[in-house]
Amino acid sequence: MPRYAMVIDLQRCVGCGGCSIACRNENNVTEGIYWSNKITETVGTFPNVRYHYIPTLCNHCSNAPCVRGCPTRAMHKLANGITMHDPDKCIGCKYCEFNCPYGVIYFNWEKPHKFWRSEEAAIPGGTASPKEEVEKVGAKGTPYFNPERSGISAAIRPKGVVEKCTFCDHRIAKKQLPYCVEACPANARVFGDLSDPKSEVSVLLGKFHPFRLREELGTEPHIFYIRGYNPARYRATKGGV
Amino acid sequence: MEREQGKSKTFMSDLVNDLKISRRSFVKATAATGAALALGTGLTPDLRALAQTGKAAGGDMGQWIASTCQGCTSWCSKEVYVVNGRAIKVHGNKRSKVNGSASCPRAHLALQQVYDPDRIKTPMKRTNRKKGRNEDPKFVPISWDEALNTIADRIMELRKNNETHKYLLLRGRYTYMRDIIYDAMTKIIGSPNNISHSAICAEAEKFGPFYTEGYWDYRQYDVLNTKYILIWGADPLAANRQVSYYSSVWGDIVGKATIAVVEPRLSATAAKADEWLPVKPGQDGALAAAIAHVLLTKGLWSKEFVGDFKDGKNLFVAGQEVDPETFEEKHTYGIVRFWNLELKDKTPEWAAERAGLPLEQIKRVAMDYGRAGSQSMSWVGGGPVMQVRGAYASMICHCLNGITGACDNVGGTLVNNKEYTVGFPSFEEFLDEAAKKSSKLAKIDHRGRKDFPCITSGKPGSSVVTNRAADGILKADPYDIKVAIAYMNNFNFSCTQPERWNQALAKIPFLVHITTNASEFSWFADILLPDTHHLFEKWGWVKSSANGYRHVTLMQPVIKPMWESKIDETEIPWLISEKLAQRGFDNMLRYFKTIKDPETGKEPANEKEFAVYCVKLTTQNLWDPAKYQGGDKINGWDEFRKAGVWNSAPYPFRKRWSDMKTKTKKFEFYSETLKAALEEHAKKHNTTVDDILEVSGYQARGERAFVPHYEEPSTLGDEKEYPFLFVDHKSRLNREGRSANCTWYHEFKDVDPGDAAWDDVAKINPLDAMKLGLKTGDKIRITSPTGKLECTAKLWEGVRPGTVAKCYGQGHWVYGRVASKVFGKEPRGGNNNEVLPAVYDRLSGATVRHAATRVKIEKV
Amino acid sequence: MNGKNGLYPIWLGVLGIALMAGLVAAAFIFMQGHVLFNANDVLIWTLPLGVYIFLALASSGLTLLSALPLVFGIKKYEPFAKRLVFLAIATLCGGFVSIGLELGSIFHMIYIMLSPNLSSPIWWMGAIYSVELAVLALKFWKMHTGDYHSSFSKLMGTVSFVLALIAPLMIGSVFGLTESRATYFGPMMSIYCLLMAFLSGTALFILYSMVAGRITAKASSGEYAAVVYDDFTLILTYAAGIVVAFTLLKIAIESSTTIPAFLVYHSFEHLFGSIGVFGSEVILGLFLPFVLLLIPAVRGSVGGRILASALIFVGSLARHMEILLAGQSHPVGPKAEQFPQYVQYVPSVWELLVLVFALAVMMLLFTLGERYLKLNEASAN
Repeated sequence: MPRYAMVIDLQRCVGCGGCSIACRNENNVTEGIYWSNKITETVGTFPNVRYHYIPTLCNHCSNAPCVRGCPTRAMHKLANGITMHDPDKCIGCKYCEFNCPYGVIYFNWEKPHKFWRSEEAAIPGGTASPKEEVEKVGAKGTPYFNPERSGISAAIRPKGVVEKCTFCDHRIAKKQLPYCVEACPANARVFGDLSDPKSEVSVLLGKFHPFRLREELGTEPHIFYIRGYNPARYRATKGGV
Repeated sequence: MEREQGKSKTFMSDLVNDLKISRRSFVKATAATGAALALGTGLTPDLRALAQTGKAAGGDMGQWIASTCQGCTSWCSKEVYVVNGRAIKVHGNKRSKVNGSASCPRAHLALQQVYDPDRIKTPMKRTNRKKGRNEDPKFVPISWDEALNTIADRIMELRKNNETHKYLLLRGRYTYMRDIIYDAMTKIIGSPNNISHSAICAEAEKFGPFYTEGYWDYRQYDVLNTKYILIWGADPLAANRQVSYYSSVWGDIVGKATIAVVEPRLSATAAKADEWLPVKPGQDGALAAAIAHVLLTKGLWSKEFVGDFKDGKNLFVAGQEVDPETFEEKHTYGIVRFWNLELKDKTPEWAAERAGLPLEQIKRVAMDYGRAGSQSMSWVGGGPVMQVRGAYASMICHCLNGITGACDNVGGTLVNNKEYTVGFPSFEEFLDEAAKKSSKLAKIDHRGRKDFPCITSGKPGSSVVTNRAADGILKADPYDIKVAIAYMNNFNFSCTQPERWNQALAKIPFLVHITTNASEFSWFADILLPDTHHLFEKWGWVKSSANGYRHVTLMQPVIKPMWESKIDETEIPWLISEKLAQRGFDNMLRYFKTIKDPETGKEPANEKEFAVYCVKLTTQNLWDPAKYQGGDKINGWDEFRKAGVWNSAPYPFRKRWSDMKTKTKKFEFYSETLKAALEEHAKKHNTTVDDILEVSGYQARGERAFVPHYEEPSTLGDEKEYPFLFVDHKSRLNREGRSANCTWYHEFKDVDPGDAAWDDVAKINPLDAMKLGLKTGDKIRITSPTGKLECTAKLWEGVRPGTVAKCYGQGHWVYGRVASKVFGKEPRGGNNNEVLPAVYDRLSGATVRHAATRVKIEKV
Repeated sequence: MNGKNGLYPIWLGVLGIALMAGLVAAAFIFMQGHVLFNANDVLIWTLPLGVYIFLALASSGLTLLSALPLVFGIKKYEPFAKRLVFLAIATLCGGFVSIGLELGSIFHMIYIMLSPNLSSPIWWMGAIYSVELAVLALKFWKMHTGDYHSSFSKLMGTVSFVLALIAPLMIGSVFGLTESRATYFGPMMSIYCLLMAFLSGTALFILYSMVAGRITAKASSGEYAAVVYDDFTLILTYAAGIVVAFTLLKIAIESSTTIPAFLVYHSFEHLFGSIGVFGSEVILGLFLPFVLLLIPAVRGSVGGRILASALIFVGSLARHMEILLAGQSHPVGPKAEQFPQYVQYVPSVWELLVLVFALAVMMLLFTLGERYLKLNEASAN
């Protein structure tokens, strides 16, 4: 059985957010919920300033606090390492969200895609209402609804349950890469099987000194970061007294 | 068809529904439809045939179909994933050698554009006669027939009254089908007034390359082979151009080359750069002059490209003139005169004072740049050049490529590769006498007047002054405009000082807007025509370059156009031509019928065939093996449609050395080309070049006008009253100002460094903010001498003190219900153009956006 | 309570209105979702969860108190046992109302049984309180039928006591097991919850008895009861003293640590205002009543008892809320990108209605129980 993991090469990352928007698109994620997100930081004082960007997503931890705490095993581990959520079993207690050290779990506070349920048109007769638009193209939820987002999780998660990144389990099942990996224009995301020493992720993890987020918690995240967002050169110096 | 859902859904039925709906049954239902979709039942036969060949992985419900993204002018080749006639996803077309499979973030937003519910569904007409910013047009839907009849009647009225020059065509985002509506239609009707959008955000950066190396276009940059990238006010990881390509290779480049970014705010590219040079706005030229000075004094010029002193001794010593006879030039012209006229005193010390940068940094950047030799590039974007005296900044920043011999060289700056598309057949014989006469009249945008030299490609009065057209219309100078058709533009949003446009548009008696959304421009229109979305619904093609290749990429309808939308550049002119023919003026229709299907020789019978034949005819050399001239070999039209893109041959390095389209065929440090153009313009107006420069607002006089040189910035506003320089920049998610109605735009707006989701922020250095007593989140008003806007304050270290940086793209007061706060009334955020004055770089005609104005900031 | 009392129908009317409002609120919450709460993906748990913790712990406290006669056989408290057990049931029902309206998908609760996760403190908490409710109901039924001492009745008493000990520990460990939130992590929260359970349960009992006694003018009949209430007040004083000591220790540790999570915690703007390092709710809801209870005159008077126990009881809700919110006010990881540095909170009308609903259910049960179930100083036949 593979153990899936992702290596994110920060040097390749250009901080464009393409991963996050593509994820919205692929997984029919509603506004306000970010399966794929980022941690940014502007460091320094003018003019010695840089901006840093760390893409984030579910860490698919081996010791996932969300899985341990879930009362109904709605949040559970798959044999391939994916931390998976079953909205049918979710009671909406939000303990996983409370428990997640990485801030990647969100709750559906209301029925998703509210924008697209509006029945008002900007110019009556001349423009469509969002609802009319969705019906016109024969979609569900949004006009660009992706029906391929299925599997244990739902195509669109209902209100009252949590949701988060599933490593695009529905794509992996078809031997396709998670969509954020495919969509990353910078090839900053490398996906693969950690149990295979020859996989690209294993090779990269042996080559660099990777770090993981909040490693000290012992959660064993499976998103690894290598290299730095800004590998800027500078002239060698010993500083001064 | 759209069943009106009973609004009075009861409380209980909702409750019951919520409890009852089982997610499992929902999934099953979608899976079942999915199975049907896999058979492609939702596609038209045409698209189905196309789709069947698309490679689909196991279990996929849809197909990837090729088309083109025009979210910015990178013009990437794309593929759209279509399931049951619905566009679901967008990614890069891997067949393109320009962009490959990489896709920048803004491409995804196109899905929210094509399915934007605020797109106009049908033609509409205005029922409120009054026009104004605060007048609701009260649009009501009408049929295509009624709309076209009205338009044809108005055009015929112009013809009857012999005033066809009072017809105006305003162009916005275009494809190379533009010549139908922009050129042929305007001229056959009989008007000189086809005004493009080009000068709103470009042109000045093409000025420098043209008057040094005879190339009027955007450059490509051989980043994979370079050692030093010096970027001036460009942000290739975020905005124009080739964002997808540069994003795909930047991770390797930052490891190999030194990257220095000159820009007053920390851009996306600066965030990953080795050197950030937060120059004082408008002082880029000073820095460039100092770098050139160092390159020469330190002997770091290219001996191979520029040549050398005859005795090998470097006589370029600060402050000292050099005898031109001592230097033997190879592929360049006028290096010594350049030194004597401009560079000899432009020391790093001199520049440091003006540019507000540390002396050490200037020296270090100049030396490292020079040491990289010809594997270096001076990458000129809009920042330093879309300024009042930007033409010369464009020259001096670009000329570094000549000094190091990077021009046309491996690891340097390159021009476009050759491609083999052709133009449309000539329409000369379809111009009647009236048309021939009136199309020679002066244009409404004042180009070519004494104080508007606008010398594109060496020809005075040849480049458009888009933003000036508003003044021409307002003052009826040289005459009034009676009928205007505009497409895919929004000048009273996208041009600086847009209030002038509001007034000008209100003055036009009959205005037609071909548009996807009811925009600010539409608010003044009499007729609205629903336009297709380029990526999903349109026939056309565009071309662009990067990675040492040029591609020609096809747009084709990958879905059935939404509602009643039609193609702006081909279908609509055809339909108008039919109506004109019915009214006895059939020249245009007869001309259109000369555009035949190159495969069958068949005349177009309707607008749909016309749209396809236009594309087939102009691209025939690319896909017809019988006409093959180079680049990708494509076996027929169907194969071209499947591939979606044609790639050129690889770049032929150094082929242009001493074969440039300048007067001397050399890289001109002393521009004989510019001299000739300026003298021609002066002659036309019976005056001297110095006088032309004087009235056009430039500082150079005499010989200095013909060499790249530093000019002081010309910025509006008194420093005491308006303490801050306004810095405009672009967003990663802007689709040319058209994506603000997408919720994803706002959800992810914070991918622009310093910006915030669901907000429009002005980035202020914390030191300045402290003086003003501002904190992040405060609502502020930014006021310039010409206008004001309201937005939110954001304290950020990535901004030069004394400047305030704000991203362009928000501040729509119409466009849609997400883009505006109250549709038709209140803007969401602020439009930068509201504070920018309508000033120009008059040599290129470019609208000024940078170092344009000072502003003050107040809490509201 | 006395049916002849003119206030009674008014009281029932008020409860009826409160219940109706609660039911309407519940329907809206089911329909529109928890968007009606002023909660978000940073402040995940808000007032309804705080109310649940508050009532569940008070219920456990009441159960613990009932163990004095029922488990430890202290005879003189036996007349109060039935009322204590009933109050525990009613209070727990109020808590269940609140948690029921807090959960996003209550109809998936079946999976608590079909798909249990034994490593989840939430599962244990839910399971224990469910069993606790059943056991208390059985015990009450036994007592109602006069069976205080059969082995089954005793067993029920013992089981309920053990569960009432474990349940607060479980609530605490829901927080104590969050590695990601250092301010909660560890056994501190469990101990705190157990102490708070005992304190708030005792306060509720005294408050209830005093108020009910005032209204019915017969609740605290006779000297005998008075002596016992003296005892309970003393228990309350001791409990408050322990909690005061614990709180001081907790605050001392929190103010001297350099762990960033605690530093963030300090900069949290106290929901109820603060005096120095102490939140107002700690001063007014714990220290003040503790001091009052130390004064014999106050401790001895009905008014003083009502005041002190009311302060402690209401104060415990405030303290639960403060701890709940302070630990969540700061966005975790990438959520800081879309949320402000600190998220402020004021309950929405809907959340207040959940509180009203929970209290109304609890008080309606109190009222009905008092009227129909002969709670008044009942004892074994």
